[in-house]
Amino acid sequence: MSLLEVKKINKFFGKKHVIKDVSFKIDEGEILGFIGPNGAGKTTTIKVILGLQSLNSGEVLINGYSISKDFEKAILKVGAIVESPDLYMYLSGRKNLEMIGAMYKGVSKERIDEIIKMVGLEKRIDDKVSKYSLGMRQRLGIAAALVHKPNLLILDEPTNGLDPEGIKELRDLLKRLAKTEKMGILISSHNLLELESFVTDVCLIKNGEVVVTSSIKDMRRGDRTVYIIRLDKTDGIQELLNKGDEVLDNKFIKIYRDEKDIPEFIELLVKKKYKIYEVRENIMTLEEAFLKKAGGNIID
Amino acid sequence: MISLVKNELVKIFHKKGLYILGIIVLGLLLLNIVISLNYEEKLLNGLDDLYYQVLEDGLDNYDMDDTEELSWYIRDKAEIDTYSFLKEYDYLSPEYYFIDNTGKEVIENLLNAQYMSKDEEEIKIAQDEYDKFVNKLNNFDWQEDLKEEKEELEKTKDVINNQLKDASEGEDTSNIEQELVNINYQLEGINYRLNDGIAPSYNANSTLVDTYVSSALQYDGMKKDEDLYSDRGELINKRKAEESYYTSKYKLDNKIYNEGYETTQAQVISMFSSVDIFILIALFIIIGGIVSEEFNKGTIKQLLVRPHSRTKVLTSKIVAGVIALIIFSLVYFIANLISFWIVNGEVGSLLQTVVVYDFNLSKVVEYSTFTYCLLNGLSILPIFAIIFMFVIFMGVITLNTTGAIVSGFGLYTASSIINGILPKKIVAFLPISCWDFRSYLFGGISSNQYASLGISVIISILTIFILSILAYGFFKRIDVKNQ
Repeated sequence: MSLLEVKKINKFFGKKHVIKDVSFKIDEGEILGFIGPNGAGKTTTIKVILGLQSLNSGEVLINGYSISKDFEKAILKVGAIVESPDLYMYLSGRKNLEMIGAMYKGVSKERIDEIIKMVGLEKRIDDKVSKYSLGMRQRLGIAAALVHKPNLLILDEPTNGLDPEGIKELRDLLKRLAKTEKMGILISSHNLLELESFVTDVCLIKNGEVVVTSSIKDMRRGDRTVYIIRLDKTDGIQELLNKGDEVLDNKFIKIYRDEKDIPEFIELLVKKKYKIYEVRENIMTLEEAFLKKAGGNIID
Repeated sequence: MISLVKNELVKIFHKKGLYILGIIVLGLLLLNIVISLNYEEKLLNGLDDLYYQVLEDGLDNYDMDDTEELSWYIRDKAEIDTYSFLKEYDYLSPEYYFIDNTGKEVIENLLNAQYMSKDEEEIKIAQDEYDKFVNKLNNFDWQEDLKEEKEELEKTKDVINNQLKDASEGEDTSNIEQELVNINYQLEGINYRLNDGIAPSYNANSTLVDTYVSSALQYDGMKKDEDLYSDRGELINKRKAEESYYTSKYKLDNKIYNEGYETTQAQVISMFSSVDIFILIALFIIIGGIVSEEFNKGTIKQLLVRPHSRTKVLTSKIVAGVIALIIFSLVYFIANLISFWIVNGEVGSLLQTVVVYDFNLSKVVEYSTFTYCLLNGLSILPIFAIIFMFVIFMGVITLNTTGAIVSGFGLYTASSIINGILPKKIVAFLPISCWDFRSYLFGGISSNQYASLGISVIISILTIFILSILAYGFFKRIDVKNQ
């Protein structure tokens, strides 16, 4: 059973169809990067998943429970930050966590101290939240999402306001949670580079529709890998290339081939009297992979 | 659920507005105490002295040859001269009452004779009266005066009785019969005073005797059969006179007296018998933003992604709001009680019973102050309950704190305005026309003749029920908008 199953959900704002048949799932230990430009429908999807907004059709199952029919059971083991960590500014960080902890059974004082330590807020936890920087609020928001030991974590743009050090710490924390606690994590962002190094899966959403869902591994590899070949010349080479292959200049060509097809292509080049100086496998960035999969400039 | 309520209470008691209101209330109470204890007498006397000094300075400006101005001169001089006597006595003393009610007239008559008519004979008569007044005041004995008055009334009574005896058959004797009734009640009043040592004064016991005499006279002349009353206002007046007559008589017969003219008991009862504006303001502060602020500040997301249904979340807010309002009201009541204690110097009057005329039983009944206050408090509870749920409902549908508070206050003020604008029959069954049960207490009737107590109770309960259903219905369906 998946921790989160989103099945063909649809959402309308009046007549505007903002979420269109969105489906994906998250299993134990998976970190799903939910990517899309601003206004693509990421936050709305997250709100629908969490029951903050109603859905018009489809179903959201969390730990096997439907969010619309069995809300309390479904949401029990979910931790979330939506949009920004909106906490009670006139209370201390500790009081905020205590109040949140009180809404669950079995959140002890020791657990609250443990989570404060985990997010590194020990020194300022008794200050009012209004005195916190944006980064500190973000850390407190993460603590608030984790205090009850959820098995599914949903974070909407959690790196907002965090400095590079904070982003690195968050990345390490999420990796650790996914690996050791077998937690499933949904993390949204419009910035691919931030997620590239630690998500296991990605789901690209554009104009309310899922464009592509894939594991990072598959996404990078694609069905064919890119190879850059340096030759003595590129005259007359066009007749040897497939559709999509490119002549980059008078020395370089870019081809899309499966690994197994490369020796045969090299043989062909030798036969046609081309001198080969270099054959390099070109590993795509996540963004390049997306561009290739979805086409066009899809990311902000 | 309990943890949710606790969380809500933490949020409510962090509201600055509530503490600002508390400080204002305490400030006003302290000011009242300070003025009452230290400055009231000095301040009022000082103001009186100033007022009469201004009057005296103004006397020289009147043209004594002008008749109209002369009459003003006499009026002002009479006031100044009366004040020179009054300031020697306590406001609640019988001497003060004597000067205020008898002396003023004597002084004015003398001045009129001296300055207006200037007739020697008139001046002499007025001077004799004045001398008598001064002499009486110097050898003040109100009991002797009342005995004299009683003798005079007895004599008049004999004369009237003889007139009635001598009256021929068919002669209209209604006027003198009425006069006889009048004299009898006055004699009753004098007897109460003489027997129980209640001097004519401005204190509560003397006022009680006056109330008895006047209400007895009023009630005596009224129709007793309520079916004969077609006008609701007249019927209510009859009931008021009836209640006043029976309760004042009961108090006099059973010697249930109060010293002074303002007791702690009376002030406490008055607190529970009206919609206190500070408690209403506290309600608006506590409830006005209880839903909308969470949405406006985004904190609602922290609340709605927890394992509690929206019904539980709203219920916890309502329960916490009620608890917070009860706590505020208790603190407010205790602070007021302490101030009454300090100002009046007593709380013992709270142990006295409250005398009430029960129209269902057609007899006077006694209640402890606590029970009486509780009944009064409960009778205005629907007003608070309906405003409370209305503000919650408006907060849920508008998600705007100011909007919720303004509409709640509007509802409260509309209750007094709408009755004046629209024909009574149209507004009779509106919740705001039926939410005040005070007039139904002890078998009483309301000026709203169309809605009985039963109907009013049903309308109030229905209103609260419908507002609750709507508030819960909307709250469960609100989408948390994207920022």
